[in-house]
Amino acid sequence: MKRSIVLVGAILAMTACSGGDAEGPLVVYSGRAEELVEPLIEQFEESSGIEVDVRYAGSTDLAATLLQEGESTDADVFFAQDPASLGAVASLMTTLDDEILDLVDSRFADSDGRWVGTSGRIRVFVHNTGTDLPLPQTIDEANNPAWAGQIGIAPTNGSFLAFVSAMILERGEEATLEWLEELAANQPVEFEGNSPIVEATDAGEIQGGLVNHYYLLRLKAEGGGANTENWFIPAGDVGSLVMPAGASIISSTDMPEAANQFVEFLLSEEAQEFFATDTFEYPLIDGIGLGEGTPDLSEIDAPDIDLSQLADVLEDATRLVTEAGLV
Amino acid sequence: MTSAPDRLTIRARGLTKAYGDVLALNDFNLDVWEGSLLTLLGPSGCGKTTALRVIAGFEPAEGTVDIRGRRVLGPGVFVPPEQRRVGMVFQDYALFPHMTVARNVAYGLSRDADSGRVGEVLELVGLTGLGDRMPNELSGGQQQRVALARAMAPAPDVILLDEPFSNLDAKLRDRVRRELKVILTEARTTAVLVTHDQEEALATSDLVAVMYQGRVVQFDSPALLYTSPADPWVADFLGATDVLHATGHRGYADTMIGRFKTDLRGPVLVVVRPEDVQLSMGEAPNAVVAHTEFFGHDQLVTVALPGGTRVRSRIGPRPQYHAGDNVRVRAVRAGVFPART
Amino acid sequence: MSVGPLVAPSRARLSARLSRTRGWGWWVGAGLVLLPALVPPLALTWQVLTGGIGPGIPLFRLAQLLGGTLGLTVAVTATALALGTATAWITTRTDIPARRLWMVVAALPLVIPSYMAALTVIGATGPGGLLSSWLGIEIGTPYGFLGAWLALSTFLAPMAHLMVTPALRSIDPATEEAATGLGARPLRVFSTVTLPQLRPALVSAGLMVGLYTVSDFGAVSLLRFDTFTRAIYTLHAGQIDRRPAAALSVILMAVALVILLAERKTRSRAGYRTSSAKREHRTIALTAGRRWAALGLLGGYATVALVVPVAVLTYWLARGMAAGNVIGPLWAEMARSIGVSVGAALLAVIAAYPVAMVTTWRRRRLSETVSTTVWAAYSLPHIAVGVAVVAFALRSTRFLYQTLALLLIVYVSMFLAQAMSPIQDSLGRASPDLEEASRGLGKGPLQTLRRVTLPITRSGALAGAALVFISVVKELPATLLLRPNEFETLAIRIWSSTGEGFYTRASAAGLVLLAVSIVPLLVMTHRDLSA
Repeated sequence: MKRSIVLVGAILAMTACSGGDAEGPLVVYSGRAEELVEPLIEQFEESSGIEVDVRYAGSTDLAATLLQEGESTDADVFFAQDPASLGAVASLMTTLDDEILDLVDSRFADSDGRWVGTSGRIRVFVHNTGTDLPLPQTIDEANNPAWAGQIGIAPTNGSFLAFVSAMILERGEEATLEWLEELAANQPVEFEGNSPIVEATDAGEIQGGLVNHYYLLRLKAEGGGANTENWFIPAGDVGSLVMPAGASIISSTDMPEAANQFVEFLLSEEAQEFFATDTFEYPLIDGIGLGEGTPDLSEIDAPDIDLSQLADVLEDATRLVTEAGLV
Repeated sequence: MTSAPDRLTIRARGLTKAYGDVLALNDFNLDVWEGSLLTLLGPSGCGKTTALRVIAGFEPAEGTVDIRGRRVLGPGVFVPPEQRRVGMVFQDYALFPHMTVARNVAYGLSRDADSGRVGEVLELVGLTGLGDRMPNELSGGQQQRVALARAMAPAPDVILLDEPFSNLDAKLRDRVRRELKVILTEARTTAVLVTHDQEEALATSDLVAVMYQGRVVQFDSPALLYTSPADPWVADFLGATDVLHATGHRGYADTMIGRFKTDLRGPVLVVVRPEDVQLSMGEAPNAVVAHTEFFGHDQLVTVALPGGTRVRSRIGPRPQYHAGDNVRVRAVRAGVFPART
Repeated sequence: MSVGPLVAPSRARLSARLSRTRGWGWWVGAGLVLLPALVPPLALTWQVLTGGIGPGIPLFRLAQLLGGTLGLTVAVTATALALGTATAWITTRTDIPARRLWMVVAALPLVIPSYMAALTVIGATGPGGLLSSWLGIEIGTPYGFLGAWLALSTFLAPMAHLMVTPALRSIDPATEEAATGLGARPLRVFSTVTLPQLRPALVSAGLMVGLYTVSDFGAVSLLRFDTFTRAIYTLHAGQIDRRPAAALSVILMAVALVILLAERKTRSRAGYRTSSAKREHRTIALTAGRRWAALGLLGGYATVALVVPVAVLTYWLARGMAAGNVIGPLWAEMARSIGVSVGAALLAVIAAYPVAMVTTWRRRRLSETVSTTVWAAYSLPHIAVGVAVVAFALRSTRFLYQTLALLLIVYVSMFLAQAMSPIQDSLGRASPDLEEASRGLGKGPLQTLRRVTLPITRSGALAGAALVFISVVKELPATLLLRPNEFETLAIRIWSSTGEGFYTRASAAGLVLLAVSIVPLLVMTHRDLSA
């Protein structure tokens, strides 16, 4: 009897501890994967002394959650994989300080200043080197029937949805739906995230996939990926969309200073070097060298899209993805 | 015994079976003649059901069993139950709950059997027209008759019945018992019935085998069993008894309630039945009435002899004696057995 | 294990006079306990009806999901029933050596969660898998229908086994002997007498397996087979608008409830008398050839269902450690899993008492409704409950949102039935007059509770706690949606690591999960099978 009382008491104590209090940790909703950014967050905790409480989930998931939570959310910072998710919750975000916004090129930040890019990435078509199938020269050729059943996509992933949003901005809804339906008809293999697509390609389970450029580079740095290469679609269409991951601060935060510190940290030399050399992305502040194997941005023919507008069409993008039967 | 040509349907010899340390059957022997109705009688745990199951083939045992001259159990021989042509009626009838009465009865018949057989057997047991009913729609007595019909339909060599009346209430029991006997006699079926109820055994069968601790201790007609029991235990099992100690001396054993002839010498047990004990008021009282129990059709008067021994007397229903009366007790008949030291 | 609805024992007589005046406290308690269970389905249905289904889902896609779900359910049910009945029959009716051992072995795989079964399938096959490395057999990983069918059938067969075994035992052995005595050979006895009497148990078991398959999330998501549950999760996580996920959840809950009601109806209609005979069934002696076949079946099943998972996990762990992979500390996850499971088990047992009392010792007409509600709450697919509670908590009980308290409340409602069932059994075996007797001897209600009711139900409460513990430790979808920040359990770790291809981390967590489940499992199988 006594033992159970103690146990119940312990459970209740645990309960009490799980809610956040005002002087509590900085709550970050991270749409970026844990194994990618955890080291960075730990660095921040050490150097600043601020405790960080991270919720890892998909960017779109977190955006939906933030919208549902509204102003009573506990989150202080939203660190997302793509501008569309960031833009979707812009109404909840505060305008960032000019100091922060000035650190990056204007095309990698929100035109209203509600989010700032932290690192750049390019969409690629990753493929198994042993394949005979013709590599797509345009994004439409990715739906070549020859690739039936051999392409991996992550239709719930923020980057994919941002890519679809970009396609809507470039071509309009009708054409985008057509492209998505062609893709669905080609029986793509669906994954929860981007890493499994690259691993599956390397293992030969599929022959190719639509992901961001840095996953393969990371895999190669760990000693894997021997059978895989990135293919940058040469046509200059949304197939090689360049977009940043980014962060924003929620207006109802109870720790605005700490939140600011965190976002600043993401744009510090330390963090930007981390993004360049550890995750093989593109640093957005000047003066940081690229990681091994990362091609120069000037070599890539990227489409010209106003990233701030991506969020406006995100809902349409998700609707079209559902309509096409991909989820 | 009913049939003159003494054909043996079942011959069991030396059946022995142990469950762990307990000996369920201990050199069990039995002869069942064709056309007779035999009862295996004994208290619970004496092995009677086990004996039945060994004969039917549901349990193995040491010893031999021959059915109609064919060896079904013996050293190196074990005929499985489905090949023994022995019909069995279980204590809880074991009707197939998902089949109609007709399909239950037809179960043991081969597919090309005479289609009228089911109707024939149902008529025999008095259940004509109930073929389409389900078992759970029938009364206890009717279920029992279906079980019997089912066992009889394939015309087996012998029917074995395991406590067939124990699930029926008292009134029904009597009636069903009589009907069963009629049915079996009419069909000229050989049957072995197992029970712990001595009234049932005495009333129903041609022969009774009394079992005790795994073996048959007496095998006789009901009348002989009752009047000439083989030992005090059998006597007491078959009916009420009272026992007095005496000494056999020169051809007689003397007790307070009479003198009885016997060739035994030394310490003996004198066993009397209440029916054989008479009471009278008046002359030379030798006992005091302790109490009376009234049963409706008769009463048992218990008297105490000097020295404390109690004896019972069975008399008619009219009230005659009260506790404390002085009476004379006398036994007109008794069994005398050696007293075991 | 989570066996499914057991028959609530019927009481022949219960003085109405007693129930009317005293014992209302138990009814109030039961009502309070049932409230959280009713909320998810009702609130979500209300939300969908008033808020609409948003952009909606194209019909062809709905048809695809429905077809996938139904197809998988039918296939898994058929396979699990056949396999489970075979193992049940062999271990209860034949003289196979080490019978008791096989009985336990055949039930054990129930402790393995479906996502671990999926991990086993994935980790055993493919170019880097166990089969390829150790035996040189290279098969492509069977993603999709094949893998899901394989994983679910293997690990749901024990459920059929556990439900068919008592049914086999309760068949009047005399009916089978009667058939034998009438000349039927063993095969004919089985098909004409045994099997028909098993039908209610088979239907019950089939519906239970079907319910689990329809609700399964872990296996189908990892093996990439599109069913309702997978689609719900994808929509919830991948869409800004959560209304389509809510709509699908309502449909899924309705399907589950239909299956549950069908199952309860089947059981109550079983009119076959159970035997009052105390005799054990005659064991069938197997010929040498058949004995080897039976041992082969049992041994093969045990290998696939028990040995292979552990082998796969160990293989990936060893391989990863040799390659210097970082597994990461699992202590925190382990502590969370154990802590939350123990908490939920305790709370569930406490909550189970009012409902158990109200359905056993203080039975009224309302009792059947209470019982059905508890089992309905148990049958709701966890992903749907998660979606419903997230929406409800955000709108109505904000202070509970993303707290451990909410998670515990949800666990308790989901698994209450498992705590209630053994306690009902203990109460049913004892006479309700015991309570009256205690009161008549001058003991008040609290004393009666302490000195009579609790001691009588002690073993039932323990069994219930063990069952709930195992269920909570394995739980995935509701935990995914409802957990507080930074609250990762072993289950979540296994699922997310497998999904991301980190099989080493997944395997390490998997082995810890199995280890944690062993103790309560031994408690469970010991009582289940020695009863």
